[in-house]
Amino acid sequence: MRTLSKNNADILGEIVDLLIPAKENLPSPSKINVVDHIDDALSNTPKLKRIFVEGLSEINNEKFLSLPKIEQIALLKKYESSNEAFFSQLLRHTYNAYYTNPIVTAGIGMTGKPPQPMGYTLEKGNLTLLDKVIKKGQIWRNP
Amino acid sequence: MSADKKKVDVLVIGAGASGAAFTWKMAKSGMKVMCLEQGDWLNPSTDYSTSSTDWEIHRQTDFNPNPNIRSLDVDYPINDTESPIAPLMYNAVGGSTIHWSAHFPRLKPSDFRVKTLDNVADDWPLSYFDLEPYFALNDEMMGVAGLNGDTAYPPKSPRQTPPVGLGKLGDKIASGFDKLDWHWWPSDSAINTVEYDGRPGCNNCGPCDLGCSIKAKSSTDVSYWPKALELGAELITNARVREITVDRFGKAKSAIYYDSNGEVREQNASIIVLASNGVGTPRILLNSASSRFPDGLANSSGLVGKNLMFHPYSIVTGLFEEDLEGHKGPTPLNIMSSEFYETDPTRDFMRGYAYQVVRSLAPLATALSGHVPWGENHHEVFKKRFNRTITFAVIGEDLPEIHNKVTIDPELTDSFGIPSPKIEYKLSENSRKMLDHGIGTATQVLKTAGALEITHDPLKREAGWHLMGTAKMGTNEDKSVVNKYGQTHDVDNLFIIDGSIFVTAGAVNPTSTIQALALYIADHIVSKSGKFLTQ
Repeated sequence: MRTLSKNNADILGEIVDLLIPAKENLPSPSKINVVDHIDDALSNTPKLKRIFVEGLSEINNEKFLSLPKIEQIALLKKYESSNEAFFSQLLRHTYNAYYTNPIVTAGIGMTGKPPQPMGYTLEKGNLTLLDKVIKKGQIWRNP
Repeated sequence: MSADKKKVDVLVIGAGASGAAFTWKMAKSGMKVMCLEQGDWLNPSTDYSTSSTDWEIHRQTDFNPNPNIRSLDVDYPINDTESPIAPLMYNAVGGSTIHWSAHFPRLKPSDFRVKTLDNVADDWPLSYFDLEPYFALNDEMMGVAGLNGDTAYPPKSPRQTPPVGLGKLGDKIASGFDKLDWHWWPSDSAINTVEYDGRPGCNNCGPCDLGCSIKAKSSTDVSYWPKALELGAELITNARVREITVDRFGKAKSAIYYDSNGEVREQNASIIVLASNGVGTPRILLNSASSRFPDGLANSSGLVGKNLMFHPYSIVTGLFEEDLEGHKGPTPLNIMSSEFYETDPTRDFMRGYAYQVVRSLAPLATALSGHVPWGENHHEVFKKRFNRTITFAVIGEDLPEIHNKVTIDPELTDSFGIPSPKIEYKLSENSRKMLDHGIGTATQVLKTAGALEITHDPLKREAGWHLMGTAKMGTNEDKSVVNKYGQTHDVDNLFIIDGSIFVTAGAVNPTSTIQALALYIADHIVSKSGKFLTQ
């Protein structure tokens, strides 16, 4: 952890698992180092770091870690509308880290590999559906 | 200031779509041609992110098409606070073809005659058929995947490679067009689908906008430039042009630029050609004001920077029940429809629009789309959307309006202090009505094809890919900046070859037409070169 304090990292770890709960073959964010990825993203962007540190400290003031899960979720819903600047960045960077992880991209039905170098096989499609278009003939306007 | 390079016959400013095509043609004709490019070379094998797992994040950051967001040192910032559409561009060898979607439709014959046909704007001083041989030559140089026989065009030369696959998604939406008996056709795309001209066929990886690491997409750094350099053209990268100077006779004399070390240099030429896009070209002309040209170079008409046209886009997205495998295939390239392209007097707007059918959003973009909630239902909703959306980009013909313009911002500059452009743009009532009509008809196709839910964005902000009209062509010197050969009315050895010279915008992506014009102008300059080179 380069940017966030341990306490803030612990809070963030709890939050990201509430934003994206584990399900079947899709892991919880804390299991695939999402907090570390967010910490990396903050390290080069002072403005973003400030938004996160201030937002997390606001949540910390509510003794977030000691609350039951249902109250934690209610608190996050409150911040979603009251601190939109922080919450939108929180969601963006959580999703950024989660949906670029190969375990997740494999879990949603892709190959788990980046687009290149393998690419994908694509069906040519049914070009006989053009028959009606062709039968109608020219639609361009001849000036 | 250094002037250590010998005077060249032709100096081109900008190595993008038009600059590359033009420079190649000049070099092929034996002219001593040099090109100054603001950016650098990118190495497709190592500089693109599509082989990394975090490729989608690069779209938000260093490969964002918006220079204000990307904020690389080679970019110049643009004040776009007074525009609902953000101008997009890329600065590198290849210019904006690096990040383009490679849509390659031509403007249609009626686009060149809008005054005569519909009594709007102005006719172009040349026709589709004047450009036809240059369209064909350019197609051959770029390599176009497509299917001959589109009923929305006059016959075209044979496409170089077969069309990009429709996939399950294309079949699904084609069924909607088919039931409505509306026009659709596989998109003409500047992408190899099989090997062509030493470049491989596309492997359908998806994100063309992040650069093509296998060179299947024809950005001009991999199509025109290698050939131009082989013919002896000279390309200077990291050369940021500050201004064009004139001699005591009022002829263009040189370009003053900053090199990669920030040193000011001067390059003299017999002919100077601007190929810096519809924002960059008026920026250079307005930054080149002098005692002889106090309102900016070639601006006696007062029209440099005026009549800025984007193609305004509305985005309509349908959600389907079945998995359409929408992540497979070049994301933006599938089907185009010209059903509502031409003017129909029964509608409440003039001219028309096209649709581009776009494949589904990638995983991260799906999560960030605003339709997937966080919390307990996250995965369930994500699964219902991922690979199951079809998007229509409704691309409308924007008519020229004098108040839509590029000027020089009084404060903003790039990192070397070169004044930056400011954009002022308002969407016209005609364009709004046109787009609203397009939202309605796109919704109809999606519903007919079986969409469960349809949402739309009435005017996409990050959509200013097409920058046109800011130095328009014409025969009347008071009402245009250049003549039909791109030659400025005020300075006879100064030419413009990019989208700035468009008289009207049509309702299709402009690159194919920009490049055909560049080749047409190049032919003219070669035929008259004796006149220019003796000056």
